Amino acid sequence: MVVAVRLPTQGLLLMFLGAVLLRIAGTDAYLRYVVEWMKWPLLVSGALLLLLALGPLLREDKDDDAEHAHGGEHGHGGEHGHGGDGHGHGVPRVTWLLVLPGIIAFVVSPPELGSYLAERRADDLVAVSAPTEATSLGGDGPVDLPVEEFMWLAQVADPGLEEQQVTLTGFVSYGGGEDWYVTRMQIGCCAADAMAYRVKVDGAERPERDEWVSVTGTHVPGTGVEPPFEVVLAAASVEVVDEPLQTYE
Amino acid sequence: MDDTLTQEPRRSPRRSIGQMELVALGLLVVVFGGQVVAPYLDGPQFTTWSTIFLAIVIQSTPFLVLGVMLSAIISIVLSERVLQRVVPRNNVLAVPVAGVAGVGLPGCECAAVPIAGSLIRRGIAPAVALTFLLAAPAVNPAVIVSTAVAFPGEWDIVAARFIASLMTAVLVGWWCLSRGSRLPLRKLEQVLDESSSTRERFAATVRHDFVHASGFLVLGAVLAAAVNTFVPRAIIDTVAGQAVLGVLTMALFAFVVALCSESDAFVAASFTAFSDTAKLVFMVVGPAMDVKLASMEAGTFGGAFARQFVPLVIGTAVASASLVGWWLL
Repeated sequence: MVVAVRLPTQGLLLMFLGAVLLRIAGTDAYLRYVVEWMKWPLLVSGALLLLLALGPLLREDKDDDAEHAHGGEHGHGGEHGHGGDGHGHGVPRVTWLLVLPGIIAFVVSPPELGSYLAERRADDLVAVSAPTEATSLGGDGPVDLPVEEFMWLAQVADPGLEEQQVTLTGFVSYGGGEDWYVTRMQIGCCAADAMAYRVKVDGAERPERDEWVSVTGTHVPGTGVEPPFEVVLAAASVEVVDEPLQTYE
Repeated sequence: MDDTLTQEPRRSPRRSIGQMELVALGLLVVVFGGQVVAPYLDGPQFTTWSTIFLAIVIQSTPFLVLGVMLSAIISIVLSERVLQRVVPRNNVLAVPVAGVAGVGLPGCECAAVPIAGSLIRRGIAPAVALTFLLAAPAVNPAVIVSTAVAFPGEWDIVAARFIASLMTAVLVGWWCLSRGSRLPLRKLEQVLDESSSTRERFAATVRHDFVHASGFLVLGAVLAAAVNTFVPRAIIDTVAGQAVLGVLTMALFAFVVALCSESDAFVAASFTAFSDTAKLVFMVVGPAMDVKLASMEAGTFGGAFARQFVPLVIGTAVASASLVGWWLL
């Protein structure tokens, strides 16, 4: 049997969820889970949840819940409560689950997606679509390129890639044998729809999984044009770098 | 982890120390004691599940808050006259109008559930409100644009998605209309009666709607994150060659993986082994029904209703998408 959620406790649960949203959006932690523009919606809805929690919290000493005196809806208590103890309370008992996001956020503080998911999703990705902004190639020094754009240039066999030194930055994920990849995840809405973009690195010792590296090298001609679009970078140097603030591309 | 969850609810509420105090104590333990257990919980499977779970909850909560605010406005601020002027009196006609009106709510599906609830509360025919619920997440401009971006140059897929989603919503709406009062919908009434102040009623309605949907949202997120993390796509790809099995697998996958309707087109596009019709099924079933929505609808409209509504919507969505796919793609 699971005890019904009483009104003051409802307030507490809402407050907890609101606090979790504010904490995640107030630090840069939200970038691990959702896209950048969600910061303000998260702050606003977190604040609204706190406000909403004030009502029930401030009148805790009153009779349990004035709202129960009204709605005919609440007569159906047994219907949506899992325990069905005939308590007749209106709030579903799954409401207890509202503590779960907070527990996960505070205890686990989940990191950004890394090699575990990237390796599982490695074969999902197919053709890469054209980047919205193209980086200009050419010049003497190596050019910093997003992993996705590099894959796209290889896929369309862009002549600018020939002999061009490029630097790709990402985390390390493993393949079969001694293969390793410089990898970036990309999210559309939230981390649930993440896709892995990766470029195989040739000619360098493989670092630890999930280590952030900048790999400088040149495209191995002919790789990444045909499915499964595995692009190979012949590495001249591999440098361990700090993890960037925004890990998704 | 699980212990914390199951133990808290078991504490008796009727001692001299109230339930709230005990829960508050539990939360403090979580906030300050969490760091002690954290090192034991860092397997990559578990942290990946946690990231995706938290991501789904965090992504959906602002949309749910938006939804319950709009729903409270509909419940309390809008006058009956305005509502009646907007909605055609003839319900058979009002169903397709509600479907097209879905274009005007650019948001995730989570926002639509409390809004549909409040429309019913205000005396709109359930069939009309439910049509809006099904159409809004699938046909709004944000979804159309993201579909066009995910399938560059393939306007037939974008059009097919729009048509099949609208068709699903309208067909289910007409079915609900034909059932009339036999629809086992939980009776939805105003949360507080007219004697309280508008401000009190507004706050009570927002809180009521949020509490009734959010627990179910978390439950849906738990399941969807598990599917997302642990079910390898390779299993799904094995049936890609078979037309019927491919379509059914994509429908099932859309239901369990519960993606945001604004980003599911990108995932659909990545299933290259599947036929275009199977991809279309994925994009039509997903916004109309998934594990997160089914869970929230059971919370808002009652379990008996959800048991009829959920399979009906999935069936209609698969049929509409297959038909439109066969015609257009």
